[in-house]
Amino acid sequence: MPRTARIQRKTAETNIDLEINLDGSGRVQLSYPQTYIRRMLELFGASGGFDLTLTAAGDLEVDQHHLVEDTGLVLGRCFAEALGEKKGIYRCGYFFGGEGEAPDSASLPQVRAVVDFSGRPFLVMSAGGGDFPDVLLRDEEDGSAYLTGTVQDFWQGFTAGALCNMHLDIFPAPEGSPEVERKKEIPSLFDAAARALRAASLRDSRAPETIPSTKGVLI
Amino acid sequence: MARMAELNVTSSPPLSLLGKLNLDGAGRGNIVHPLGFLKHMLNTFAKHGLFDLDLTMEPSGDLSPEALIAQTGGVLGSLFRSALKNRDNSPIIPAGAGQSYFPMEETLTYARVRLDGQGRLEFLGEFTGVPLVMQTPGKKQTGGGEQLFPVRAAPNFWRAFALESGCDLRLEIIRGRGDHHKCEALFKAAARALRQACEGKPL
Repeated sequence: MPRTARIQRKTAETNIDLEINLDGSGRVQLSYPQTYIRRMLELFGASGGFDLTLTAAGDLEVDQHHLVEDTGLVLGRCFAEALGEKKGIYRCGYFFGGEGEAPDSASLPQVRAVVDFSGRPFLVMSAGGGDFPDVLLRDEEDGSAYLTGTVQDFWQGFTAGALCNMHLDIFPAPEGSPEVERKKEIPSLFDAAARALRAASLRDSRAPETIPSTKGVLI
Repeated sequence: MARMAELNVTSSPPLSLLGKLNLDGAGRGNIVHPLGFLKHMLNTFAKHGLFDLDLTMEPSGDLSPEALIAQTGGVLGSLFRSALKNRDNSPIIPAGAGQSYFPMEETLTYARVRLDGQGRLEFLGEFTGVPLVMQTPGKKQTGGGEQLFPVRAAPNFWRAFALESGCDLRLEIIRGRGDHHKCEALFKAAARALRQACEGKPL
């Protein structure tokens, strides 16, 4: 039985209709007015094996913040609804790695994502050991501007909607890394987050009827 | 066939203990322990590792909480050692290894275990060291029912576990706030790492 959810949320600022299948094949169909997050969502769906169908509109004349934040929120709520009472899942997942050359054993991974469907929302997001930066960058595809801070808004919205605990880390790029390598960091983060979420959502064949918590409740 | 081990040390004061471990269990913890916080840690450990753990520890004399914490880790380690050995003492899982991260709010921990090790613990990171406040069931806190749990002694649990089990264990508190979360996240990470190792799946 595939685990699916659909949420339609309309506010004075945004209008989002999102459907997800956690047990999909990475098929993503998006009607999304902001290029960078659209590309990140395509990557997210493909990396996690999730099917995503999304139509969204927002008050971009104000800025990108409301749309991106609400997209994360609705995506998170879809996960929560699709997982239900969280019976029989692994609940905690992680993935570390990054694009580019395979790191040797002595070097740090570029990114790390850890998620626990604990039922309590909390996000820790860090880059280079410090706060996640807010920087204006331009999208590779069409040159449109976006703020990296909205990426944190997205994941803050996600953890709030999914009621999950996430730690997302970008590790400092080695000295002298070219700018193009740094631009791979955020896509790597969406890739890692998707894989961590997939791992956490996986059905546990050894305990299919158990809610994986000493509390007995994960919602 | 389920891999199990049992320990019965009822005739050895100042501690009487009964222990039973099933590596291929359903995550059932059945714990009787004088330190309520450690009981919670053991239940959590069983749940997250899908181990069945029955443990009754009843001190008959004066044992400091620190000593009890270390003893408990050693007992758990002994149970793992027994459950993981064939009759001829060869390991049931050759080269078994596992790892896991586990978060709890601001806290993030990591555990890596090698079953067939030298019994060493590598522990990185810090507890704040402020003790946790436990209340004895049935007693008023102000009526002699207050006991402090020395979280700072938690690494001694794992040191004794590594030593008695023969596992090599690496535990890290990567970041965090609050010793309850730091301690519990470590138990969860260790449980999942041990589960992976005992299932014999490659890393």
